[in-house]
Amino acid sequence: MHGITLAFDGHVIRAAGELTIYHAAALHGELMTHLEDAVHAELDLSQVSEIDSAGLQLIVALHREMTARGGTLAICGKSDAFQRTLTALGLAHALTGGESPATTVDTLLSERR
Amino acid sequence: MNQSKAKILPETESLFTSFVAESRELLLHMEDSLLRIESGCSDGDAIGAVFRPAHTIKGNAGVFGLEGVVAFTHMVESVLDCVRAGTLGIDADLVALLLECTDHMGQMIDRLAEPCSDGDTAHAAMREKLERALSGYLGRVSEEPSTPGAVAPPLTAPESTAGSSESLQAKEWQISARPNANSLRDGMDPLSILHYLATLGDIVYVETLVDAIPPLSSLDPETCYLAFELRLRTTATLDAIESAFTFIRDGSDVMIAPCPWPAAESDPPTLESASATSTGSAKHGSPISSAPPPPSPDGNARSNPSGSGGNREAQFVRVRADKLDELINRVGELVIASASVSLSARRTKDSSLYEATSTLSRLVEEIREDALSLRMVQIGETFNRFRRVVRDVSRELDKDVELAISGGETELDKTVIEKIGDPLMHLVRNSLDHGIESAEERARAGKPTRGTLCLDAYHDSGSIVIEVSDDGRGLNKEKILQKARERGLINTAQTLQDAEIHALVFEAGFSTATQVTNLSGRGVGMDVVRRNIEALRGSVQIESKQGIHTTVRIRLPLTLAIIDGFLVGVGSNTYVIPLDSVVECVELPEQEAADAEERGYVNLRGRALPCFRLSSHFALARSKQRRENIVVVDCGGQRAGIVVDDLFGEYQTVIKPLGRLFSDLRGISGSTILGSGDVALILDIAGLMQRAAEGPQGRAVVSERLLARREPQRERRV
Repeated sequence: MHGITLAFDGHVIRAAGELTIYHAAALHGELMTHLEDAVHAELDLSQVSEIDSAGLQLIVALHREMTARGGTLAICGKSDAFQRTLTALGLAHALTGGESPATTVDTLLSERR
Repeated sequence: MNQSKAKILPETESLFTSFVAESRELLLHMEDSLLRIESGCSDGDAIGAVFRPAHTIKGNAGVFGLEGVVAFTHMVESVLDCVRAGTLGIDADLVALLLECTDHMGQMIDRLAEPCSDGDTAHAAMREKLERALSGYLGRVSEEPSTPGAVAPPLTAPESTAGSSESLQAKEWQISARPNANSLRDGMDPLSILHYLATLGDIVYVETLVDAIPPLSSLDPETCYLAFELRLRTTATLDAIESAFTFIRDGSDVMIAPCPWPAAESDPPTLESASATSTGSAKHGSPISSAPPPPSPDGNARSNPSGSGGNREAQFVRVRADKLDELINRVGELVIASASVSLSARRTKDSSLYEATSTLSRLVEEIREDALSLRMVQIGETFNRFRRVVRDVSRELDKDVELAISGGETELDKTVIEKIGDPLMHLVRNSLDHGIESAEERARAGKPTRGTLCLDAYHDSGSIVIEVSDDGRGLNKEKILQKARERGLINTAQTLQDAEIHALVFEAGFSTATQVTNLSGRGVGMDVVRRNIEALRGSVQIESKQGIHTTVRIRLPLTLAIIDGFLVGVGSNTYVIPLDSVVECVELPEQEAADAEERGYVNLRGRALPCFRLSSHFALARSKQRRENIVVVDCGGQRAGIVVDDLFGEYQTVIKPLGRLFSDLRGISGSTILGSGDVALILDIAGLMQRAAEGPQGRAVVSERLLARREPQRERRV
């Protein structure tokens, strides 16, 4: 799949495709517009085929934004690609609000070898 | 074993290009160091100087996932590591093998840069052959283990092909990295660095610091706000770990320090315990080791390179060549504009304005110098490349030749350097092939059996002179003359000076191999050499004494873009003479004027100066009653006078190429636009000199032919 599509269905946002630097700017704009007044949102990332640092950084920023508003951002679906990147960066805590920051990356390593 | 370009995204294309360029440079360093070892003048760190480039190439190739390159380089590196550790002795055979490996790596890189399937099987066969030879050496090491204690064990075990990261010597490293803000935009995802690090060993722990991410509304989604803390358990060296960060090094904070905790209890403190690198800002890891590192013969060789190597690279910025060209072009326009302003200011006679413009002119002059110096490259690197050529060719021909290089620090324009490589190669090969005799012949002639080939470069009156000289058999004038007469290049009756005879070898008629071998042994493709050099606005000369030496002297302009000119007028036309060739200006007394016209020379302080009227050369109408001036010019030691009407003085000028239509025009090398908007033609002094030397009657047929053969000036970028 090429590119990224965001489907806004009430408070659920379904992202499908590549959450990467190439689309980060467009994605950022779209999220800003749609979530302007939102307090609670759910992000379905089960159809994300690829995600990089830029993509993750954006989601972390979104998560913090919602939390700061007193709202929530829940990740309701995680694709393998998303989970892998999250683990590789040791970032899981940033999206759940303070689990153990240390994450082993056995999953990543076993795949890379 | 077909290596395909491993999925390179267009975004990383530029990175890949710089990878290719850097690798080629590194291979040259490797080659250079190997040749140094071979010639026996190696210092303690020579092998390290071979090892490091190989290592960097491997690391960089890893970032791009070029497994073929990584695997091959890894073998080379393993052998080098054994040599470095003293478990393997280095001899001529091994150096030869390593040189071949360097070539092969170069080919691999070339094939990646420009994918082609030609000679795939040969390439693969070569690789197999080299790999067999390398593993032969590695096998020898494992069979003859060094006696414990006699040789210091390598600090890091050569990574075995199995790649076990759980070996006993695995260490833990604490790595903190804050990639520069542009790294994402530049196509370098920190994630890929983590992946790369994971190939070196185990990432025990990783944490991404997200504190720097700003609120969503002020977030620039393409800026990297992330930073990383991680701990890596690996057998890899500090160099290898650093190499992961090569591509984000500029402007990034990277700190790598050995980790004192779990692993340290079982491992002795290591040399690298306090070594940390940082390029973005000067940070240093706090020394953690409790005991001072044990002295080791290997110590200096290992701790220096990582530091100095890192610093050295940080001093350079890679810039695209076309950006530089653009800048120089713009500066050229600035020079023209500033000249125009000065001209106007002078007319207004407003002294404060005049003063201001002269300051401006000075600054513009300085900027021009700076801009041009950006393009200047030392010729040493080009010269050094010939070490290999000389080594290989002299072996092939079974001759003993020493290459002496001097003036390597002389700088000239990068474009010129690039284009001078081929002609130089030609001349060097010629010297080796035909100039320098075999050892027996030399002994018979009472010369030292070892021949010497010299490459030299120096500045001389605004141009660069490059000399290729050998102490070989020299040119045989008789044979050249004989050949030239046979070929109809000269009349039988003509008597020529030595320089003219030598110049004959640059004629196209002398360019086939058989004739040359029968002849004095010179001239293969010499016409091509001359053409290439003339295309660079240069000239070439030969000086030779039969049986003693031959020196080929190439004279090149410093730069192709801007020259300092001397503005002269003939009638209503303006011409520019390159200032470097102007010696002096004198008035032409009226009584001499007639002589000048008739005899083609004037008496200048008791010496005959060949001269000619520019107006007659270009068939221009000139104002009769005015007195004339002579501009005395010098070109390659020859002097001549150019008779003109007016002298306007120095003028900095940007060379604009002439159109194709004028490409055959003699005596003109380009044009320029004056401050007033008028066009002035730039005189080609070498071409005009030839004419002056001929005198009014046109002395020699050969010179006429030489002139006719002058290659059309190649169009230049201004």
